[in-house]
Amino acid sequence: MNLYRDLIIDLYKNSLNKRQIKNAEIKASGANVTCGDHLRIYLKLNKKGLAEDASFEGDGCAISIASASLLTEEVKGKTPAQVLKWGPKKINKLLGTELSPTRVKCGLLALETLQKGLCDNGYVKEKSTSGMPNSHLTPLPKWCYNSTKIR
Amino acid sequence: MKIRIQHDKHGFRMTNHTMNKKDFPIFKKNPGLVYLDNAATSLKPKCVIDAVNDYFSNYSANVHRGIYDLSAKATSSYEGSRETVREFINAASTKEVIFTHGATEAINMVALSWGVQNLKSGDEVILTISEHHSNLVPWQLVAKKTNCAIRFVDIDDNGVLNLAQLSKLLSRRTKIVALPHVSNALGTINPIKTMIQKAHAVGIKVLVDAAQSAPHLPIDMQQLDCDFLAFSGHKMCGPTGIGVLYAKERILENMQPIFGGGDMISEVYTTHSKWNSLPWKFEAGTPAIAEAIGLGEAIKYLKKIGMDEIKKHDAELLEFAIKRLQKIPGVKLFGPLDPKIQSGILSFNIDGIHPHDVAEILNGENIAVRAGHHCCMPLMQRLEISATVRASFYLYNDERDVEKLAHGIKKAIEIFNFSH
Repeated sequence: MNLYRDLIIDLYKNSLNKRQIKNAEIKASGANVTCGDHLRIYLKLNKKGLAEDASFEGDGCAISIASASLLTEEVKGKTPAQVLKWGPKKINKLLGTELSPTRVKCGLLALETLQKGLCDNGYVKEKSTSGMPNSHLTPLPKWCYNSTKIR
Repeated sequence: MKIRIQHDKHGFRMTNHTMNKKDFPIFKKNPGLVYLDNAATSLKPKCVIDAVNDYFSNYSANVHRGIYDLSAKATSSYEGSRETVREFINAASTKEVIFTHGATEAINMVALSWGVQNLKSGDEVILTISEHHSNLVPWQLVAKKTNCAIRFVDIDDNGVLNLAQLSKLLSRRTKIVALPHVSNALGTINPIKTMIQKAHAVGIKVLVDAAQSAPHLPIDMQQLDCDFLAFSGHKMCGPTGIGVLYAKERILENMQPIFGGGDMISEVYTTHSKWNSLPWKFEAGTPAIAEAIGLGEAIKYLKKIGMDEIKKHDAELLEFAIKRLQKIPGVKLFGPLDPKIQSGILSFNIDGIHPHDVAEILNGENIAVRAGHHCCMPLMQRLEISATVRASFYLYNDERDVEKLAHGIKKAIEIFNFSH
């Protein structure tokens, strides 16, 4: 099973940056409702406008959680403009695998949620991609907090 | 047809249903396929594919209009299927059998026609929390139009409906109770006969969503006595794009059509029109002729096996699956877990693994299951889960399929424990 490599499983079980950032400038929620994945992304910018810290909360499959972990690491030190240029290629590169059409939306959930959050805060995306999730800050469902485990 | 019990070389019980796999061409190309997504759609037997092909190849004329032989043949096949459906559900007359695109369209027709005509502000529609979106959203649409309210009957943690709550909710304001015969997410067989009696006792109409029951359980309109019943052909070995709305004749007589066009009229003037007689009043335009013929053939196929046999087979397989999956540590099963009140649908989760990942790993083993909210978001919210994995059985599944599923589940657990 090529998709479920150690890295992805490990990031799913021991996620990076799975926490809240209370004073984050960018906060955005996204969901893949058909899968039951819910994420909230936080991004804190420093005075130079670089991403100083990023984190996420939520519940999802191994692919979406591993992507959120990797993404929140990768954005650190980057500008919103740089982040807005990323797409599926970036996620495949971070995950080290080519996602199948059925799983691309899992892998892209964190990135698209963050990008929508940036757009909602006045950052302009040069080339808009369709089908971006609604980033409005909605309450995460109860089950996202229910468990001490990741899911 | 009696079930012949044999055992295969691995010691798994085989029935003639097992051998029924040969009726389904998909297994020829994909002999290792373990298809456990029957609640979404069933596979199609060769006889159904042949019947659809035969129409397209040999008499693909329109119905009800042509004076020529081909059209007459198409009409008699199409209307013959209606009679096959009538007999299958034991409706009083073919006037009560309306072909639709599926259960969803059937329910929408009731909501938009009967609902809009009969509901007003202050009225209430009673649904259950385990509703498929197709028996919930249409009522929300009607509520927007009419200002009626929607009330929900709750379930317990095992997915069994709270009948006492239904009794409490029934009031002078209630105009209709719409409920699923079988829950598509948990498999619960609801005591609809009792519920229909309760509602009828106080003069309230009842709609039964039979999408998950018509393929698996014997259904008898004279015995059930519900006012509306909806089901889809594609979940019962028939083609996609065909379904049935059953409604009592006197209700249909008073219902206004929601689609206008050819075939549904008797006379048309520039100022007004007169409707055709039942059931055609509700079938505007050229219907899904090939699909209706295919559905008729599917019903003949099911009847040859026997609905009681299918019900028994589902129950036995479910019991085997419950016992088998319960043995695997970390697997949590949902639903009543009692074959007497559960159809061949088994929802489960694996501790620490998202349902999507389970389904993906099972897919790698050529096992088709469904993972997600199964179009039952309010039910998922009620159970406080985001999604489940759902295995759903039909007449061609057997104990070997369940065994392969158990093996796939163990593999998923191994993969997710690998790095620890």
